[in-house]
Amino acid sequence: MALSFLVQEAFRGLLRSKRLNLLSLGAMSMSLMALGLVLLLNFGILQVTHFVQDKIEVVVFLNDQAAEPEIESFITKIRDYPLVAGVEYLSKARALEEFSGDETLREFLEVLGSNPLPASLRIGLMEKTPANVNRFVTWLKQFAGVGEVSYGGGDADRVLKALQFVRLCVMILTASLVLSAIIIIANIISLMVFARREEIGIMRIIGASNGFIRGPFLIWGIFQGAVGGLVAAGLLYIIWLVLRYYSLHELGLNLDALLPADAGLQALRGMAGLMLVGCFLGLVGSLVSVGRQLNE
Amino acid sequence: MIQFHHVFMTYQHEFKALRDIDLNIERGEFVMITGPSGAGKSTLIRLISREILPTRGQIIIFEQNIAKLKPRQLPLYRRRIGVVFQDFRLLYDRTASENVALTLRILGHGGRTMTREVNQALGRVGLQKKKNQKPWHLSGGEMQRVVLARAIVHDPPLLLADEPTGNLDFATGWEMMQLLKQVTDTGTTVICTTHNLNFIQKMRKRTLFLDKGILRGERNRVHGA
Repeated sequence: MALSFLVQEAFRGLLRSKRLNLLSLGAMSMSLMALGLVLLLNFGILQVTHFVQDKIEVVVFLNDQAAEPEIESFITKIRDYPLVAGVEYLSKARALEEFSGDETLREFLEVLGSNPLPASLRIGLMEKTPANVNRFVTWLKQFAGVGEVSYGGGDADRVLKALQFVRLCVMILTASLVLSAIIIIANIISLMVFARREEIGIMRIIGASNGFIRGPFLIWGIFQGAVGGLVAAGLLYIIWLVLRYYSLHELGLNLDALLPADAGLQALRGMAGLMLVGCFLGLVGSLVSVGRQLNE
Repeated sequence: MIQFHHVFMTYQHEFKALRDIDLNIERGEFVMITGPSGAGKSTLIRLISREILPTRGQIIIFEQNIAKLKPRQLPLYRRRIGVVFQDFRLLYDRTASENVALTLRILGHGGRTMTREVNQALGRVGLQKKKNQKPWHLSGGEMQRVVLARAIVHDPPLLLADEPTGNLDFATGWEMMQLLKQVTDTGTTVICTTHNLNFIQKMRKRTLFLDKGILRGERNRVHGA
């Protein structure tokens, strides 16, 4: 079975029912664009999550009774903890130095006469998920000499949990969009297959295998998915341009500043991804609808 | 080559299209099947092409029980049969030669060999000059000849013609009959249904009479067949 013949047959079908093809292409493009928007939303949420997580820093305030060797052994134990990226020790004296820059605080400290500021440890973590941070803080609190532990506390925790929930919603939305796109596309392809049922009947009676009948529809589905992906990517780019113009001129906010350094490469990847998803949707849609027709 | 053993066919548990058919057709025979509308002629053709399965009984073709063919074997079985329909069933967006070539495409042929075979088949039915015409530009008789060319282009051992003259005037229908007769010259078995008694009389071929799904009788059976 020559591939060139199957491709030729696929394009013959494409030209024959132009209106249905346009309808199908429109449905494919819109579904992929919606999917692209949802994925962009997910990307945005991830960025905010990283931003919030970057702000999280665990600070351990040490009791004044803690001796230097005790503190050093404590720092070693902290460095050995798997998630710890770095530890910075701030002695009582350095803390006083840092705070003496502030006029009001300096006056307050002078009145007190002694240094009330505790020594502290600033600890950077690698994976700052709420669970990781909570586990780490609980682990820290078991050590003698640890006074108070601060990590941005409940607020960061709540924001991260909220973001996780939103991401879960976005994932459910993505799955429903993919499923509904497959259903819509499969139904439109069913219409096209139905319109060609007589031709399929003729082919079957003269001995065409299911593969021979299915081939052009699959090629057509993949092609349409790729074009749909390209159109969706184009539409998303237009939406981005409009948003950028609006935010710059109406809100005075430059959205370009939010983009990562390799934004161009990522956009190309996104376009290729949308085309691939389109090809997959087209392929599955064709397989489902032609399979249904062939089983009748 | 074709054997029917006590074959019954009932549509949707009600309409008995064929009842207890026993039949034997030899290789290279030309068999005509006649009878009034609803006699079961087309059902018989559809059973042989395995579009439908019998309700009861056994059909042996090419030495195999066709009811037991697996789905993947069915296209291979059908490639050994040429079919001519009363309503042509051509692909109207393709030329005559493209319609004929479809059979060969399905068989995996291509290139110059395929073109030569298509030209030969169209030549056999006298349509070589119209090979680039689409069906809409052809007369009924010409369309039916394209269908015949499509059915015989791969020299199948069996040709089924279901009322091939049903949509044609007498003269054109007679031409079609002559072409079908020529097909048997190459050793192909031809089974042709018709309700035109003139053709039956003039052809003088083995004829089966069906009525209400029952094989009432036959004539001109060649000895030994």
